[in-house]
Amino acid sequence: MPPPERTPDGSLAAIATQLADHELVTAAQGGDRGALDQLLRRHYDRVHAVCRRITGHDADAADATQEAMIAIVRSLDRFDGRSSFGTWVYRIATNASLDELRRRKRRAVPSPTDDNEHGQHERADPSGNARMEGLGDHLALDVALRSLPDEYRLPVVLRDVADLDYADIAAVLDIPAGTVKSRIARGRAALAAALSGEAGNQPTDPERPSRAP
Amino acid sequence: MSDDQLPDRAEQASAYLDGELDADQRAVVENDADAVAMVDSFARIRAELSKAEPVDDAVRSAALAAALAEFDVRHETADPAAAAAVVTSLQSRRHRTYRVLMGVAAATVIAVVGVAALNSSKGNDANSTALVAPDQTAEQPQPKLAAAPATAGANDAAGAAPAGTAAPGAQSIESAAASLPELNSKEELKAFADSFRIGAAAPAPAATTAAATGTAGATPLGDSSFQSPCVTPEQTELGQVVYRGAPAVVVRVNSSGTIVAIAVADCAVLDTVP
Repeated sequence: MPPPERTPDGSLAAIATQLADHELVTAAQGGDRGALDQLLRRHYDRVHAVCRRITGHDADAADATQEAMIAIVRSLDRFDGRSSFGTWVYRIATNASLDELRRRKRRAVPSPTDDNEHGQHERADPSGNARMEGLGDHLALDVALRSLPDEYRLPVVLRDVADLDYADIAAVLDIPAGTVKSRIARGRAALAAALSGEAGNQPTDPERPSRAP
Repeated sequence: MSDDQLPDRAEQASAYLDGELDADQRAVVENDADAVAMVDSFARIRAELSKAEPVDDAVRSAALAAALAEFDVRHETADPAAAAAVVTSLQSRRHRTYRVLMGVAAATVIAVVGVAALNSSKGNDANSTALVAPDQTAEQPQPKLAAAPATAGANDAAGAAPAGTAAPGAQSIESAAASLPELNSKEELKAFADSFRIGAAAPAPAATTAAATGTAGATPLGDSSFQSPCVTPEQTELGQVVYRGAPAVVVRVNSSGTIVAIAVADCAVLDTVP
């Protein structure tokens, strides 16, 4: 099976063969390595984006994404197609990210710069890549997102990054769709409040999103 | 709409942005200037969130290689347990150093006790052999893959060795680990693999685990004759290193050429370089 093509901007696009996910899944479950390769490549960047937004940390996102890729391979035989493959993948990615966050908390070592968000960002991206571009917006959003409790951050990320609908998010997070709706709203309101007062203000308590603009 | 209604307004604005409202509900939002402003604010956040973070090609390649290696192992290995031993979860990564240190500490304690026992008995009695044997096991953390030869070899060596031989065997873990090259990144891993290929030391054959394990007690980490039980016949061992703090064996996957760092403590994959 040929590898996926790259678009001029470098992003992977599985347009070469245009096989649907379920076809690739079936082939991969049957032992087709090429199908699996294409399937993983097709979803890697989006999974990474979700992991990056949930963990708020480049290295953790890389680890979580790799862990998710391996988990997909290990669990593929048990995927029964009742949900879409994408939804299933995002559930794995979400769990991998949360696991990574738990590991990060366990290995956290206080340092003099821990109360400095810039310091955290410096450590998060030691290569310095992407630090010079759009630092303000990028950093402010990362900080605001990190300040959200998981219960708000996860549905917002799954909605705005993974583009899942409420029903899929409910399936991924095992919560009612109505709860998804309210948590996304509260999360967004908290983010808006935090970003509007980013000049030194602490992020708004997500339980009080009513102070959003 | 009063401030008391703001949470409801936020929910309506959010649902409006997500296309989750019916026509009547949309009309309510569109006629509320504050709600419209809120929708705009949420839309900006969404746009910012959805901007793709750049993904490092090397990171992507490594992750895909690790996943495909898992696939390869599962499809080429009849024994699922063996497959799991070759590629394991990243969840164990963070604890490896601790486990290795605990293993070294345990080996040291056992060795000290063994030396004391041997010195007190002044000979090769049964007790000294029993005390030394676990030391060999500690140095060789994955005996299951070659359990019988390892035990026999270790016991033979311990039984034949003079009392003073046991302690250096345990100490060699620390000294050998300390003398191993320390690698802390994929780049260094790749450079190590490249230099090893170019360098004088020839890759050792990987399928002689039993014989190698039989002499493991006298062959410390870092010795080119040491054969890790973590290495499968499909891999070529390149050498031992300390990778990100954990003693590891570096192998090249014969079929793909992928370089893999494998923890000697639990045979977990620490990292891969395509």
